[in-house]
Amino acid sequence: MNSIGTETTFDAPIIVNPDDATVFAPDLARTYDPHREPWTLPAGKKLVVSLLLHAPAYLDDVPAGLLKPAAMQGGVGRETSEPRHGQVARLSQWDFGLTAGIWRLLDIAQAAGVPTAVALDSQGVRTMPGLAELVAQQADEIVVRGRAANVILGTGPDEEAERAYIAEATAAVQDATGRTATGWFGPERSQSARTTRLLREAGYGWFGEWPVDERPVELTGASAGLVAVPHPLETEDMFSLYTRGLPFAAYERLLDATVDTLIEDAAVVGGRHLGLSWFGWVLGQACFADVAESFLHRLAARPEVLLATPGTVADRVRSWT
Amino acid sequence: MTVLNNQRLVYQPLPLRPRVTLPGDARVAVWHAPNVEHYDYVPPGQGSPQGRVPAPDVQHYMHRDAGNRTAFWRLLRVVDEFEIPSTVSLSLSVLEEIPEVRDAMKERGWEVMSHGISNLRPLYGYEAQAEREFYAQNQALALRYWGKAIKGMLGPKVSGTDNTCDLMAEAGMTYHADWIHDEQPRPLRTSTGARLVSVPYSYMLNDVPLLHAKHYDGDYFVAMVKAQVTRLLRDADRDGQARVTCVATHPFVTGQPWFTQYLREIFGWLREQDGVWLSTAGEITDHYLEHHYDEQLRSALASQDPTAARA
Repeated sequence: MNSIGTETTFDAPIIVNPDDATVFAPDLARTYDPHREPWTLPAGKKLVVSLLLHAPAYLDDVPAGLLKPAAMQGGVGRETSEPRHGQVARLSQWDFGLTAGIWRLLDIAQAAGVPTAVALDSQGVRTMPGLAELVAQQADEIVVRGRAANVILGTGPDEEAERAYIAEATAAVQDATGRTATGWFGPERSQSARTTRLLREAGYGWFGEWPVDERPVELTGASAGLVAVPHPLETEDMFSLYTRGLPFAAYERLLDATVDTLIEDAAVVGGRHLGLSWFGWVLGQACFADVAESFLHRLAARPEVLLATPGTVADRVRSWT
Repeated sequence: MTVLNNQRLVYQPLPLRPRVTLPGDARVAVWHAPNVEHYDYVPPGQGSPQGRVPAPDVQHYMHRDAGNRTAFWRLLRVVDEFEIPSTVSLSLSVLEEIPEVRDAMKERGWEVMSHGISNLRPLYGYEAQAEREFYAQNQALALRYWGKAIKGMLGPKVSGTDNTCDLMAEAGMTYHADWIHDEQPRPLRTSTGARLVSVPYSYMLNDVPLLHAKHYDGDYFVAMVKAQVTRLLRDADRDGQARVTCVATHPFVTGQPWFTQYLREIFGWLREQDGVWLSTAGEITDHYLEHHYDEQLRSALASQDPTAARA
């Protein structure tokens, strides 16, 4: 791998990395907060918040040859094991998002005046009658979420299979909703090393699964033209309430503290972006939904906050002004 | 002769040891260890870092990478606000590959502690010669990019071999932070008799186990720090034995926006405590080597050898 310039530029790097390692992610420029041009927002605005609601469908029986995660959330809760055939607890919990949870979260966001993007997969739009149409009526932006909650991209399938996966999901979601999607969010935030290039080749403008930064990031190289719109893990309901197992009151405090700090930091490091990644089956549960409602109302009332969909954030990656 | 890890400890119960003191009137030394790490996009051997998806796990990589792009700088602002001395547990590839982060730490006079090259490249299974070359490379990186040799190590992913302590000492290192068996610095037995000190790191006051493995809230981390340091101060008052404790952070955890308020509370509170010496692992080691190591070792060995004890 490359060594970047140092005061000893003419010396060969000391570290020789193993041939089978890839030390840094491809097509991602290495930029660091105080060492780059600030992201400029309209006067008085410090933080852009976009809200992405996930509406994934879980496949009980993943056909042989498809890649599935080795661990994922949901179910009775004692384990985060590999999804296996017959796990009705996990299947039905994810389905709850599509029957009730996503609609509750959409209602809450609309009442708070917060624009929404909704991510759908081909399993859901093909097998859940009415899902795509109702989402299309209510969402400000449609996002493609691959084939199913537990049929993922990643190292393994060849390039043709990955290209076909992206094409199939894109066509299914666009056909069912009658809307054009410019954004992608892979199930389980899964990718191979070539996924961003294939997304760009498929016409996508942005993708959401990298929790890599506090502002949108333009990719480089073979993925140039594609924008990473980051969605942090900490503010994601599935990560905080399931992976971390926080009580919901702690999660609500975390959301408020994140917004407070990002607004404070904007004066030092420039405009910030926060991509909220919420699941119908998690925060859409009746016991958790008040967190979403009270937080979004407080958020929408803050004069320093600009609300936008992730696609709009991607369009303004260089500057909002 | 190989000294096995079970034999490194030079045992002597704390109540029976000669007294350990700290500079000034301090009773408790606290060292802050930010872990500034690099995680390979695809690690050697292609292993998945969390067994979640095949490598690359972009969720894992990007989360850690954000640690250096944004969260490190936020952590740094809080460290600056309270002027907290810091002993960086550093993936040494950062010295060569991320000059922005390296230079920010250098400007602040942080102490560098080796944490390997990458946190997805543990030392397990290294042959002695390969491990010897690893420490030589550690020191070459430190000399070229930092201007002085490294004094100690927290193993990459807290890993090691039976040879680790001996080879660290051979490479000129004087402390090892993997050992958490004590509240004081202690001698670690080496095959040559070279002096190597364990300076207790912490897997208790540590954001990864507390917030990512055990899933506590920020309030709990604050409460743990206060409880630990308050108790150590009280016990040191009672028995006259100075203690050492560590607060371990990782930018990708405590540098996240939601944690800033808790970090301010921790550092602000530590700054206000009479009797706390905010220090670095290297300073603690140097003090211990100069004032206590020989006496502590002598006392411990004598207590284990009935003949010497009677002499």
